[in-house]
Amino acid sequence: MVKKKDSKGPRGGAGAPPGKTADSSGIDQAPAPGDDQAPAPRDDQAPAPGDDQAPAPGDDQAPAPGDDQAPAPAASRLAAAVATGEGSARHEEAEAGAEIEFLCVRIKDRRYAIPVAWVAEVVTPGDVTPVPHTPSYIRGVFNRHGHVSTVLDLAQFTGTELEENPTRLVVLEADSLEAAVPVTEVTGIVAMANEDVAPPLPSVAHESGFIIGQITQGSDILSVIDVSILLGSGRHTWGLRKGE
Amino acid sequence: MTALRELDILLFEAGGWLVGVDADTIRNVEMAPSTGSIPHVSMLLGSRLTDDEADTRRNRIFSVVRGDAERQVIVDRIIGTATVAVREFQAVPDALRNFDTPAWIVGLMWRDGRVVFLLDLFAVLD
Repeated sequence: MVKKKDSKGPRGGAGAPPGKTADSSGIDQAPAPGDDQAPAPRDDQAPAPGDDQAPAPGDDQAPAPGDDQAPAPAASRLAAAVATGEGSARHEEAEAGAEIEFLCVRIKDRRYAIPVAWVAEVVTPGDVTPVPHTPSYIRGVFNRHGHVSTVLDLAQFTGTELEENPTRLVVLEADSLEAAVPVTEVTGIVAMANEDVAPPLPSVAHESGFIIGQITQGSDILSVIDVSILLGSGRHTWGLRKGE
Repeated sequence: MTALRELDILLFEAGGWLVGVDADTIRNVEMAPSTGSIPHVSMLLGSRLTDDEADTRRNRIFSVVRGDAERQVIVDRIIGTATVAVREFQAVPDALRNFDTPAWIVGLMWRDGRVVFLLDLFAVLD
């Protein structure tokens, strides 16, 4: 049996209604480098061994990722994706009415929402070493706590110009994969009800296979990133979709 | 059979990168008074030659061997050899492999705050 998530999530803010940013002051409140409050992908909310993460038969709220049998609502796809991602295993978020927390970022003029379950930490950009013979959207590698981590430029990856002045690197983890994305700005964290996540615009979904939904924050529309798709399939999924 | 614990690495600069190769695959390091048609590792890695690299006085030429095959390359500045504990080597991250990283980058390691690209130099030449 899954637990119902407390609507007063750690970042939702007491009484913060869904869709309202708990922290409007922006980056200062964002997880800082080394901040041990940064969303830990393997936190204690992970289901116990034997707790099947797959949706129960007949549970149409959380189809398995990649299940294209039915036109699943974006919220359900997202919740299922988050719940089954190794980095999160937040089973309860697949439940209808549950809230999902997103780290909201801006990359140049585009805004994205990343489920915090996939965010390992947010760090200040340091030395990034380019890697020979890699695509331009691979900015390079950097030293993350003693091991090599990849920096993926999402702006270049989606075909726009390089983000030349990132203020933060958002380190993403999913399915044993890890990469950091340079962002122009971390704008805060927002908690959204599962059903408030809308499907992505067809044009966006077609262009970027890793965009699986969209949410509204004030007057801004944020594209929801499926980190598992982004890191796992990489350019290949994106390229296939572009060629469809 | 005892697992390999240490490996001798030849370290050199190429195209601004710090590169390491298995020293056992290197033969005949010598001065390179003229470059001729021998490939420069910097260019193999996709970099243009800097003035320093084009200055043949600093260049060194050496052979890379695999079995009976042997190829010559030029590098700008050989730093030296180092005996490195194998546990210091790190695999290329899977997230990086997923984005078309060349297979000839066989690993990475840190040295003095810089990343060292461990290359299968013979594969680069292929």
